[in-house]
Amino acid sequence: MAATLATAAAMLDPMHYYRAKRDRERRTVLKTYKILGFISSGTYGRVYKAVLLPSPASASSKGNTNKSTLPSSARAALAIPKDKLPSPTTSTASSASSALDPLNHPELCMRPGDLPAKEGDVFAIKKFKPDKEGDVLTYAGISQSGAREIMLNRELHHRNLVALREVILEDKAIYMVFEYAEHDFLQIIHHHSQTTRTPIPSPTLRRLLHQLLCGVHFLHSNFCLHRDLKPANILVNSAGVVKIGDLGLARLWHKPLAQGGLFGGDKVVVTIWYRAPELILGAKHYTAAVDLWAIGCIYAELLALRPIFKGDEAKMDGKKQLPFQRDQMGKICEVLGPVKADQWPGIVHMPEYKTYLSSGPYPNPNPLPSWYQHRSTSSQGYDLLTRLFEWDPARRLTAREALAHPWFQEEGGVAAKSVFEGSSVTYPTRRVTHEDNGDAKMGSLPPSMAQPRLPSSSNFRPASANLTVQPPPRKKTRM
Amino acid sequence: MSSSFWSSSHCLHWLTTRPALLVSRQVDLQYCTPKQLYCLNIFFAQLIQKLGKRLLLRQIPIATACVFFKRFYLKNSICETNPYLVLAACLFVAAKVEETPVHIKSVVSEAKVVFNEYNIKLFPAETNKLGEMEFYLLEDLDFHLVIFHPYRALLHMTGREPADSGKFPLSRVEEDQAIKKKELEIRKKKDEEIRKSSLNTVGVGGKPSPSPSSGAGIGGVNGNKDIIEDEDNELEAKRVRRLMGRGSTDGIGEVDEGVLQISWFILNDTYRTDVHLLYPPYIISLSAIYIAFCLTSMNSSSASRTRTTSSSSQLNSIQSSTTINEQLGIDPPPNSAANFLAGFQVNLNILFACVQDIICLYSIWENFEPTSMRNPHNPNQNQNQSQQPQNQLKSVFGGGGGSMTGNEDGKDGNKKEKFGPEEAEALVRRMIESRLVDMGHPNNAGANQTAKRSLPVNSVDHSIAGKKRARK
Repeated sequence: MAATLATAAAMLDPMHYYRAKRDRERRTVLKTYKILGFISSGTYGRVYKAVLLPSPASASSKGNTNKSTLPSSARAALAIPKDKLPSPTTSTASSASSALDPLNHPELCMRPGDLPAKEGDVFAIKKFKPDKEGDVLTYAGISQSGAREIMLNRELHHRNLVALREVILEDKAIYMVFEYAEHDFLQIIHHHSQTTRTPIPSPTLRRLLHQLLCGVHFLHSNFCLHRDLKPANILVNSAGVVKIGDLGLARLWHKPLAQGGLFGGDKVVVTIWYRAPELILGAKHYTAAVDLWAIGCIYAELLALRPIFKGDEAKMDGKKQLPFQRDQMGKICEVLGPVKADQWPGIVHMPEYKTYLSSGPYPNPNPLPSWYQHRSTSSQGYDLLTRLFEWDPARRLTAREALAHPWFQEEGGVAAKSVFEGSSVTYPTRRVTHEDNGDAKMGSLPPSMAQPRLPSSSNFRPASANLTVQPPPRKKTRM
Repeated sequence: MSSSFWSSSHCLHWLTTRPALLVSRQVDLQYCTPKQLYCLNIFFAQLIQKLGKRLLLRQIPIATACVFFKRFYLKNSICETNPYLVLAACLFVAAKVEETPVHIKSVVSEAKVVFNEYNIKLFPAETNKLGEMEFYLLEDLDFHLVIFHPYRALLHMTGREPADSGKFPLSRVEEDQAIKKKELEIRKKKDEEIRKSSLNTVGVGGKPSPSPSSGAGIGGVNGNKDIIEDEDNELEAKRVRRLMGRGSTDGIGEVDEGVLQISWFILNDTYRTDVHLLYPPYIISLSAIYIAFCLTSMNSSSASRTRTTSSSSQLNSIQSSTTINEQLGIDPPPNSAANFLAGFQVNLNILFACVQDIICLYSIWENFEPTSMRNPHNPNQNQNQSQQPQNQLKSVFGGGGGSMTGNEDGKDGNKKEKFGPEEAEALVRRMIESRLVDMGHPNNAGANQTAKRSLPVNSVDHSIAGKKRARK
């Protein structure tokens, strides 16, 4: 009885047909793109550089034209009798069948909302690792950050946001096909600090920051917080347009009924060096101002060519309690001076305020002017920096206000489309490694790459906050 | 975009038309009647609601899951898929999208509990099946995951936008109330002063006998009335001007808490219908407000039905909709409400099509799953409240009336053969079985079988056979 039931259940699985249908329709990543190499990896997965392959149909039709067939209009014009043309019925039949197969016409496979592209276009393909957990590696669905990135990148389109061409699902992995950007802020900073050993030309710097603010303003006006702004996440394409990437920590904040506010989902946001003081002090409710603080940090880093607040991250202890990031707070106070009560009246309500008071002392009340004088002479530039580093999140500049800051009008302003315009510096292209060792299927990391780089390396940078809380499976005690 | 509906994927790619909807259901309609299919959709929405509640999800993620489910079946057929697996996956994805993620294991275990209640055996209680379904679901949704719900439109239209979503610390209604309160205090103070001064003058006059003093007091107030009225107008103008900076204030006062509550509950119910595939969210929320107004006007009897003529053409057409209302068997909205509704420049045909779609639900729903049967299942204290408008609507549209189209045959159907959740479960199984058999047919079923299957007689036979099979 039980056995018959089981077989009946197997026969009754209607999803069989559905899956087969969908699997047949699916274009694979490797049939659509040629992988040129590996760019980077992170906790989310890996990024590859890829080029769009010619569609199978257009390739075969090209073959046809090489053989003989002329377009019918040309045929008519030349008045060639049909029977003299070598077009055997068999070949037309086969081409008809291949023409019918949508897999040979990628443009027919495009979903609504996908971006058009032409053969030879270069893309960055981000492969998400399936969200696995535990020792047994049970599949736990698409990760929260993957879902966010798909959701937001499908919805938001702006010149200063990385455009998502399409999403392909294959073998339990998500492939997000992004437009390719040759440079990023981190690489530009490195090039200046390591290779040329000159500061970034101020017109370039100004335009980089301006376009970054444009993108962030767009995000904020769409009720979207980025929450992980840092030089590595801000790309610049070869045309000199800034593209904000990695919306994996971003979220919409207009959802009125979200449980527990913003704090509910992610306990830790923003990479430690770019984390705003209100976050360090444990604020449960924070605003778009956290992104502006990070922009201030990025601005300072573009000026100084190294991170301004380079604190050590306190790791989580065994009690699963979030530690106070004492070192990071100390680094901030070393540059900005201690918080004065009138600068941030609300600080007394911060959960970690008492812990903060126990740190210090910071003898220099305001070291920032001297820090700045070494790097730039523009007083407007200093004003912008101090306004971005406003302790009180309510008083910090908004993206819109920052865009209107007079500093952006200095030295010819920011009208130029390309951030590189007028600059003699040429930046190296993105390093792409050709580690083809069995990676034709873009499989798992080779052991050398899988290990995170050790903090001893001078290039070490802290990882994005990656503590999106996956709620544990609930126990079955509830009735 | 996530802030502008007009450039969103929801608006650009996911609003469809009634004919397209019908075409997408052709395969399913070979195996059931349109009404049965409608009931199945109620059934599935009910399951999503139940499962969502068990997963401690709030209304927004549940609503998102409902929309995902409907979008999925724009491209697929119930009989060619496992709807229970699909609906669990919808909730799983919706929970992530709305930033209240639940663990895949809790979805599976809670789904088992809920589906057991309904004796549903088709759900594969395996996490990897659900994970796999999530992938297919995302694909069929074209990865468009941002949904615009009418709840937000409702709050905006009625001036109750949540404070944290905008730049303003208070919603317009709250602000309005705060200003009014302040004005009232000022006026009270002034009244007091006037009274005091008049009392003083009387006091000077001589004896504190109550009648003349009060008379003088009233006289004094009356004398000042003009001034007060002028001040009132000025204050009112100031208030309007202040609020104008944040958009229209027209009629915000008309939508009191009661109307808002009823509108909200009606919106909850709309997720059992197709309106979310057919109309933009603002039309849906306006329809809900309209129905809520009609219900409240019904309660406050015919006094509010007297109307004053107005020059506004929009208002006139709203009033001319009275005839439509009579056809639908509901009272017209009260006059002030008509003013409020007239403020929105929307196409009335679309609005009433949407209203019609929503109120159609209640009679069919009542037959499918009578309220009396549903209530004992939900011992929640809130449930009483939320059932209120449903009951009311059902008593209007479902029980009495009789002018509703489809109501009569619904009643007949109720007597002849009951179609409730049990039958729905059996029907789903039968549809899937028949579809599998048909697809195995040498002629590859589908097209050839259509004519036969759609005959009602045949379907009745089939249902008996199905029941027998089920009992075995």
